Amino acid sequence: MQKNLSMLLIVAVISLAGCGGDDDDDKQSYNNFVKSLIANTSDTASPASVNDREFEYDNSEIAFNDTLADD
Amino acid sequence: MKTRRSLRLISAVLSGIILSSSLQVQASSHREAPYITSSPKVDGSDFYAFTSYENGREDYVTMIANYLPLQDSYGGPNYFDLDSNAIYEIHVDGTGDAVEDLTFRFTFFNEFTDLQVDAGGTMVSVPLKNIGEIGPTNADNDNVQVRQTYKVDLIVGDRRTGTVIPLADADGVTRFNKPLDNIGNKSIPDYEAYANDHIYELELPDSCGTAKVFVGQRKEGFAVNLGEIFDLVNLNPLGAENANTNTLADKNVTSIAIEAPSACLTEGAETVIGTWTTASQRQARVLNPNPTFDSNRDVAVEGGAWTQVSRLGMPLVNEVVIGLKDKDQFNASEPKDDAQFATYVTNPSLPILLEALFGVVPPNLYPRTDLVAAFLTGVATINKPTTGATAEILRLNTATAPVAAASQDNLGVIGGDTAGFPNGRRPGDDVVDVALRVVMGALIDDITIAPSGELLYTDGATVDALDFDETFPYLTTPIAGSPQ
Repeated sequence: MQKNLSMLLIVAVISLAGCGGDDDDDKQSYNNFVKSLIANTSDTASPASVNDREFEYDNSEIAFNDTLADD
Repeated sequence: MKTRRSLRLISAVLSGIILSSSLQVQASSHREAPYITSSPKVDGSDFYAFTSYENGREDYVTMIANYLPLQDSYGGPNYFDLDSNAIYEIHVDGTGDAVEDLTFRFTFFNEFTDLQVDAGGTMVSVPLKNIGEIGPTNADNDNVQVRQTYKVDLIVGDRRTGTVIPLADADGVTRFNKPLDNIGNKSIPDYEAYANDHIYELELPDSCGTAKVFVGQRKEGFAVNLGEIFDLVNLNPLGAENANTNTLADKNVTSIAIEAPSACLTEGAETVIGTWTTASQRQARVLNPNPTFDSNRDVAVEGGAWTQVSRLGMPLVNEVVIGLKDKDQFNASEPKDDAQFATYVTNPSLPILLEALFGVVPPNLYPRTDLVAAFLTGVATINKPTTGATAEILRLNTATAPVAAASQDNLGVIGGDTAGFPNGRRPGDDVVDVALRVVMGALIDDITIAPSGELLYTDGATVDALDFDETFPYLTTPIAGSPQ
């Protein structure tokens, strides 16, 4: 039960993460999507589907600095 | 009925055929799908599962998953470590539903010791993997800068959400050493002894006894005439079984081998198990533009769910059965969902390609129920479970007595040796020749349906049990990186 809830939470976070930074509701921020995946690393979760997602790419060289920074 | 005379006649006709087709065919177990070419460390190339034929081990099943194929032994200074950001798994289905009941999961860790030398009064890190002799025991690592260790988890139930049981040896140790690759005789004078000291005996739960485990480089055991196969099968498919060079004879591979008691792998009265191997990577990866050792930041940060990128059960399926456009999808799929690939087996393209290349006549049987039995359900009375799903996995009937190496027939079941392929797969089974013959109708008795079904197809590169050791892990000492 706890694992199911965790997986549901991860899916919800990933879904929400793609909603920011774009005027077009159909597009998701690729950077935010990737950050969410990494932030919610799990040995028990299923991979997020990407087939139906349309991404918007940000070419900023510092986009992932927070992901790459030391903990 | 087919006659020997008619077979000779067809053979003579075939020998004179000139290749003229532009059709392409693949027949390797290595780098078979587009994506996996970019991730060779997680490329599963061969998978073996057989009742152990080592003396006194008849009650055990040996499973060997080979990864990172086509290794040139001299490939230093980094050689061929496995991916520490991936998981490698061997799955066992004991109930016939093509869903894993047990999974042995291997996870690897890089152990780095910054070895330095005094260069003019300054301590400077060295560029090589080792700076002195290694071995002969697995603890002799003082001269090693980078090596790998691993842990083994037994997962009961679903591979992701099941119960995880870390496996330990009798002393409670859960982290095991992987031997360095066979750099050469100056670095590792007695590689065989050194590698053998990396065979571990792990305690299994539920009073199941112990399992032997070995992970390390081995001499490539697969035999195939690779270049000619890729070149529109540029060989005589009816020539001698040893007429050509085994292209892989000078290659090494990395093996993940485990030998476990048969009784612990089967479920209830069912004696057939289904097995396969997969490798998975983290779904997301961010490359680090400034990797630095001192800050413990590697070349990439990876995260997300484990995402399967390699799958292997029966040999050659993703190579010569699955269409090119679906190979990546097959590698990411689970056996329980194999209905999506059924057409590739019921209406295979390989016989049509062979017809175009050589003029042989494909079996006129659709759907190909003979191939469904061999590849998807198991063969009745040989390795078909009492109740079973239709799925591509390597099925082994653990009730079939093993055959000693000297008595094995490398054609397995079609050679009269029911302990061989496709009832599991032993290292010495010549699966390329078997696959060629079966796909052209060797299992179909009616010559009007399979006119070319009894021809003795071969790629001309042979292999047999005597090419291997007769003790665990069976695959032999890898080729050394330097000739001295």
